[in-house]
Amino acid sequence: MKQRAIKYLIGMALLALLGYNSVYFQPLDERLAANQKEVFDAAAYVESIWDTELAESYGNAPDFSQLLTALATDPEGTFEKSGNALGIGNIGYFRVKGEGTVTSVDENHVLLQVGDKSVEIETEFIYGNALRDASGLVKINDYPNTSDFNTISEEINARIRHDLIPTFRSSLAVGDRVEFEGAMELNKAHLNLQRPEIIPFTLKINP
Amino acid sequence: MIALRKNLNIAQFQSLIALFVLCLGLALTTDNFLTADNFWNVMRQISVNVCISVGMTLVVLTAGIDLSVGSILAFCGAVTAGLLRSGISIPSANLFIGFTVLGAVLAGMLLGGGLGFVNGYAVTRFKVPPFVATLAMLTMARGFTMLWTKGHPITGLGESFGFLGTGWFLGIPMPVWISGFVVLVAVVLTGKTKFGRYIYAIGGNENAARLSGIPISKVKIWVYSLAGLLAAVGGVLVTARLDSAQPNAGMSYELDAIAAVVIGGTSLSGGRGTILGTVLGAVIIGVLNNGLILLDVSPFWQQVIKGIVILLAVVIDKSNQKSE
Repeated sequence: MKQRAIKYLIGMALLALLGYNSVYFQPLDERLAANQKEVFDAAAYVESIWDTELAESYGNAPDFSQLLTALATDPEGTFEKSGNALGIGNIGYFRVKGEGTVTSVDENHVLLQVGDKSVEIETEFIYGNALRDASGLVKINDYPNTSDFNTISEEINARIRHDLIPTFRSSLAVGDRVEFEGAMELNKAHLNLQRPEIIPFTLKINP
Repeated sequence: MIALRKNLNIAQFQSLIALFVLCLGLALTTDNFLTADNFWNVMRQISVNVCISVGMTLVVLTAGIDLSVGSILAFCGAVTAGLLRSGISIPSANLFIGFTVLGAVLAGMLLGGGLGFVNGYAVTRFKVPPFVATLAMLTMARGFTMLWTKGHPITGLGESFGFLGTGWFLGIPMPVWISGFVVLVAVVLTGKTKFGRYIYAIGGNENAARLSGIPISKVKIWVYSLAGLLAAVGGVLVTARLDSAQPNAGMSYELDAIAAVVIGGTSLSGGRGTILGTVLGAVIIGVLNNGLILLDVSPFWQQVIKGIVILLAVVIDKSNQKSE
């Protein structure tokens, strides 16, 4: 009986020790206030770079036709020189700018003829990290976690979806001349330059 | 060699030969297989499979099966990560309950044990076939994972938690220490305790075990609970290693665990097999995975080859049983 009591006592003490080292309590409002300070504000960050660094980066993008020619002749060197990649691997992101004529418009994209090349300007599926990573401005190591890093892409893409695309599509017609700046994602191992897809950063219709 | 043969059953001996041939082949055909980096990489990778395979072995020894370990792994990993990162908020009491690494890991393991308990309870109390009961749990746990994570990864879990998956202690990766501890406990449990003998007895002949007075239901519930708990340990390791709880983590891990158990010589009809055999099976699967990657074999072919190896293991096991 006495032995059992001792066992229970030791068990309870161990449980108490584990519990004490497992959880802590805090008033919720204090916690929320502390969190507010720590939370990374992606919207504010993107706003701070949108018209300055980001606009400058895409404004200085290589010409689309020249980049495609370079990729066709020297893919390795062009990936090295003009592409941005998050890590090792075959995927590279490129900034491009150019001007072309609208040849078709459908619900997902706008097809432009740029010189002798066709290019798809995405207008529906504005997702992924192409705009963030092609710009080369944002480095993953500058962020404590991938979640913060990814919210930058979400914010950039959301701006394009909500601010750029609706205005652009509302006044677009086949035959229009369109100036574009944007990003494209290419796979070095399966390089397909036939009809590249571009996530736009700016789109301007020239009458 | 003869001494080794005496201490191993025929299936384990064959597995050991297979592992040796596999290693020899990879050492001769690849540049990186026989490097320290690759060795520790393989060991780290198999640690998760070792944890869940040990649990699976206990279940299979009772002539059961647990298909839910992959989903339990994902759910427990996600809950551990969620508690660690966001704690529990109770607005009505203006209270925030935060979890330390120890607390979050314990909560995840408790949850895994609880889900395993539900499996065991369904199998013993309602006589649901283990395949069906654990299949149901597979779906439920995956659904709960999606609900808990809202389909997004939970990231940024901190260095001290990450140490469990990526840290080193005395020159050995932490996951290897943890899985080694799991193996040690399981070896003692199955080989040196009454509970272990009950597991073999139930798998060997359940009716005879019942007539001998072995508490079948109690033992089975414990076995399924342990399998759930060990899946949770695997979940903690995966989450810590990636510094992220992925909603689709652990997909098909149950198949790798079953493969390790079968290749390790445990009979799917129960009552025969060892924990060390399973560890051997997990090492073979790990080395095979590693080798196929080093040889640049297409991921699609990797699946085919792994399937053939599992089939081969079962066929050999059956022929061993006949000859015995």
